[in-house]
Amino acid sequence: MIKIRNLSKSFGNKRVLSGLNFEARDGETLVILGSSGTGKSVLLKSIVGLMKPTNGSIMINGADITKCSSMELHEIQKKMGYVFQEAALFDSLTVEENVAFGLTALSDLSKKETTKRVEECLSMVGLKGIEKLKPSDLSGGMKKRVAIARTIAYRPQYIFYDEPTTGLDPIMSDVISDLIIYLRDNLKVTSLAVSHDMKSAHKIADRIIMLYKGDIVFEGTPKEVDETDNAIVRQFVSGSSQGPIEAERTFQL
Amino acid sequence: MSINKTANISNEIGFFAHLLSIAYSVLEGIGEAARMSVETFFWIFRGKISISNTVSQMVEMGWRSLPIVALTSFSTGMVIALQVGTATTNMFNEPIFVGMIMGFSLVLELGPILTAVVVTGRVGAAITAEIGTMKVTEQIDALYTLGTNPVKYLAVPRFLACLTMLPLLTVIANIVGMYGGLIVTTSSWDVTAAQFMRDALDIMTVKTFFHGFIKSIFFSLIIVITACHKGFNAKGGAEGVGKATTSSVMLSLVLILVSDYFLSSLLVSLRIK
Ligand SMILES: Nc1ncnc2c1ncn2[C@@H]1O[C@H](COP(=O)(O)OP(=O)(O)OP(=O)(O)O)[C@@H](O)[C@H]1O
Ligand SMILES: [Mg+2]
Repeated sequence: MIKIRNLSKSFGNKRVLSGLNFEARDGETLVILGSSGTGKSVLLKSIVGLMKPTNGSIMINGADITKCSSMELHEIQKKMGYVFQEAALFDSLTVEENVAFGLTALSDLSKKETTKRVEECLSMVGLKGIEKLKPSDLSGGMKKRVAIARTIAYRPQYIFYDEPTTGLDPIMSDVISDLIIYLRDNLKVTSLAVSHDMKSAHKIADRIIMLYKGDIVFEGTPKEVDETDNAIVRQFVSGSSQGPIEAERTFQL
Repeated sequence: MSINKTANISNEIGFFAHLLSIAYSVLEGIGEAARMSVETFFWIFRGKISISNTVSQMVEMGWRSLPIVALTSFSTGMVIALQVGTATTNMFNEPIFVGMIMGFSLVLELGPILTAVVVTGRVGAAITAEIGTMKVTEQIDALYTLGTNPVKYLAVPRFLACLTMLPLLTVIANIVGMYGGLIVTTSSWDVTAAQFMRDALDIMTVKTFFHGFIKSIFFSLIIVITACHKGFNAKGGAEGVGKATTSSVMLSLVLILVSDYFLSSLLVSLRIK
């Protein structure tokens, strides 16, 4: 269980998150919505310990990761996987070595089992026969999928997806949505997924929260999202440029 | 008038605040570099060393730097022999002390310094650029989330490789440089190779060798710590990596050249000369 209390984060004078409170229960997929630049990536990075929050607590399995020692943090981090928005593949390693990286570092599988797992995970994201390629030889969407394969390979208990389907074609993005559901149902993975892809969000989410100006303005099931009369959420879901969320621009139609 | 004065004072305050902030960031940088070095030693003493990574770094730093290091010291050896030989011939009608001056200047100074400068340009820049790029593309963060300490994975192999390869390259540079000098001396003047070598080796002791060797170990620490530190602290995309690389090379060169004097005088006072 992930429990966030009063989480805030500022960069200098700029306040990005101001006092968030929410939970992700074990075995559920929580989708985080929000406009570009509201701090979704910052939120995920704070939860996995890549950024230090300015204030507040982040409890994972009952341990507050903002207060525990680096050894304890390391133990907790072993159970977490992060899919970076920009993939962040190791460009000096091949695809195979990338996907095997977490396995070698965090598990004690034999070489043969590792190779098998790598192949298995790559085919789960719809990639085959690219093991020997370098990340620079891949398309953006392929990189993203390799990044997902790299994260699921070592079977973390918590997975944080930063826009897992951005940059994928509609079919591939549905495959990835299915994969996230598969991991939840079969491996009891708890996931936090940032997404702009409403179709995928709808499909994978058990619950959805919406960030707006550093705060959570909505929390509920996908069904409740459909039925809400919260103007901010409605505008975001329908993807309209007119409404309470002001799209900053210099022209009007 | 009083407005002028206030403006002056606030200008001065601004100036001192600026100085203070520079001093602060320098100290902060030193602190961070020190912390990284301590962490590096921590992993080394715990024996958490990736052999394959370390060996491939050794090949990259040692073997691939060999041609440029050899070329540099060979031509430097040649030109010193030419200059010393010509000068002494002008004064005494024959070239004297050429072997001796060459031996001393190479083993004590030029070998360690030239090798360190070449390796800074070649290896230090590459380390900063590589680690810096990994930093700005979140690959360092990815290492963390995959249960791998970036210092252990990236800094330790480079540290060990630099620490072993620079002194080794320095020894090779000394030998190659002497050989360059020997070729010029024996072909330009009536000096035999045996005479040249006797000149060079007669007054040199093990301590002379250690003087240069200790310095090159120290320089290797400067190069690798500066390079890793600047890489890990790169920020701001391609431009940031470029800036980090430039400042890594500049800082490394300045530290090497300045510390050389103090290090030499310390070694001399310890009678390692
Ligand atoms: N390291 C940093 N230093 C300063 N400001 C930062 C830093 N990282 C993020 N920010 C700021 O925090 C805000 C939130 O950034 P974040 O990357 O979390 O946005 P996001 O919600 O993920 O947007 P997107 O959907 O476009 O990915 C942005 O305004 C950004 O400028
Ligand atoms: Mg983001």
